[in-house]
Amino acid sequence: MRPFKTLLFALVAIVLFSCSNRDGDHDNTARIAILHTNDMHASLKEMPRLAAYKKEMENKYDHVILISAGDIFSGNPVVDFYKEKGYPMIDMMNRVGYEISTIGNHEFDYGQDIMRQRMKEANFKFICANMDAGDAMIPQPAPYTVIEKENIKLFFLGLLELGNEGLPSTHPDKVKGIRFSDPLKAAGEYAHLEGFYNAFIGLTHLGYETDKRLAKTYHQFDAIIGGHSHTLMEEPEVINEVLLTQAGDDLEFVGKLVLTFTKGELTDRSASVINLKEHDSSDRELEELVRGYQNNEALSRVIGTAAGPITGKEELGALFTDAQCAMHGLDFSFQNRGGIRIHKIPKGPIKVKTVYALDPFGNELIRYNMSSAEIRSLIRYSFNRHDNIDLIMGGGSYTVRINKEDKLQDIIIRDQSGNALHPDSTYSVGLNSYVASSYQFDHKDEGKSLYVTTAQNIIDFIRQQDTVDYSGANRVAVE
Amino acid sequence: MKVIVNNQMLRLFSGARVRDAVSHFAEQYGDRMPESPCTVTDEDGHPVSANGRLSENDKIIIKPQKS
Repeated sequence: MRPFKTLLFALVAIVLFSCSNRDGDHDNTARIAILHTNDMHASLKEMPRLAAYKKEMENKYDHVILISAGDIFSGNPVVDFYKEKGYPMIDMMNRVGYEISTIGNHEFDYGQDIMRQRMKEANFKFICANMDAGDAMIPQPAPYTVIEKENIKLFFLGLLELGNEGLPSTHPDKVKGIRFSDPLKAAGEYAHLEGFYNAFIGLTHLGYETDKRLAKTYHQFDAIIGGHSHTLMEEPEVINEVLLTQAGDDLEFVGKLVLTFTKGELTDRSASVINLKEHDSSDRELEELVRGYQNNEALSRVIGTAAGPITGKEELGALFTDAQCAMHGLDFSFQNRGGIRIHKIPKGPIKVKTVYALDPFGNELIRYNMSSAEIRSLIRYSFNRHDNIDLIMGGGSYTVRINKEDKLQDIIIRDQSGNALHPDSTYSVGLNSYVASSYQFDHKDEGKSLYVTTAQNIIDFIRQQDTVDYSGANRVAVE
Repeated sequence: MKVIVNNQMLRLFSGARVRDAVSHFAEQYGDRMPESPCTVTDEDGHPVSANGRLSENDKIIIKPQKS
């Protein structure tokens, strides 16, 4: 019998070992892997690989939690122009198994009504501790959430960045009725809760520099998982004993924060980032779903009609600039010829994809308050830079006078009524972010982004106008 | 807003992204632009993507990409 008992004992030992070959499954130790993404900007492509990776980690760790540090929307026309804007992203995040997403500034981009609908459809929780939805259309997000795994309680606090004007980086109209408070002060209101949880984690959309300030201020955090600055932290930083990590953007990477608990106490932390493009396995069902979304008709949607062909830089440039002036109440707007990437919009229906072919760069619209002298300096710089007319104008017209040597002598600018600009007046001027950042011109006003792409602007304008006609539009002359 | 690129203070519009700072630096200090291809990191050496949003006094470094 002895050999049999020995064999039986060995078999039992083998079975027990197989059941407990996951990390941490002995001596009251638990290892929890927190997978995190940030600034996905509606990118669907690597969701199947993320799902496969998560499954693999579930075989390796006691528990796996998947979370997002904000900006899940905006940046992929396939999602942004889906008939239910943003829905493909929510659908994929639900299927892959996200549990939390902190609210990022781009979550407001589609407008509050759509944001409310998407939040309702999400199986995961949206959190943000420094916003008060008040009477706005969106529901009040919880400031934090607690995920409990095997009696281990993990606290996640959501925080959103604010710009100089006390609003997140989005168009002010998108956040009407919502009040925001300083994120670092808001964090202070919850720091005292640290002792009630096994881990105290900031899930922030603040940007890396502000995450550093948060860590320096509040040692209570065990980790800060960040977003907004699109920082790829191949190694974490530890500041004031707080571990900081962030995983790039566009779902190219997933971060993995591993927390080890021994008898409920956090005894170890480690963080890394994984390049999803280099991860071999992928969920086939989700690949099929992503293909379905990528092939959808969103980009072929008709947004309006061209009454006649819109041909050449002058006519197409007039469309750019009129869209900017009209949609944002600007006095003037300028578009560089180099940013106009097709030669013609044919007569007839105008599709979303035509606008993205016309304006593919993702430039944003920047608003300045400028004097007539400053506007002149912009035109002078652009003419000298290109030895020719470069900027197409909206809201008015201009004439460049040159001498026999083709050197610029004078610039005459007129508003739409044909009146010369007043030397003492200040005008609101729109420029795309490429012109704003790379052209050298005088401007006392530092300018501010309106957080809308110039392409989106054109789409909104054509939708609003329904029919556009730019035959013969020519607002710039050389004498 | 002020942003520091390769130790040069630049004045940019608020809401600028990393790509805007790189364009501005290239225009103003073209002779100091590293040879392409380049990579952009924060002051701690972490890569930042072109569409990353900048805040007042952020520091970024443009350097040649390692081969």
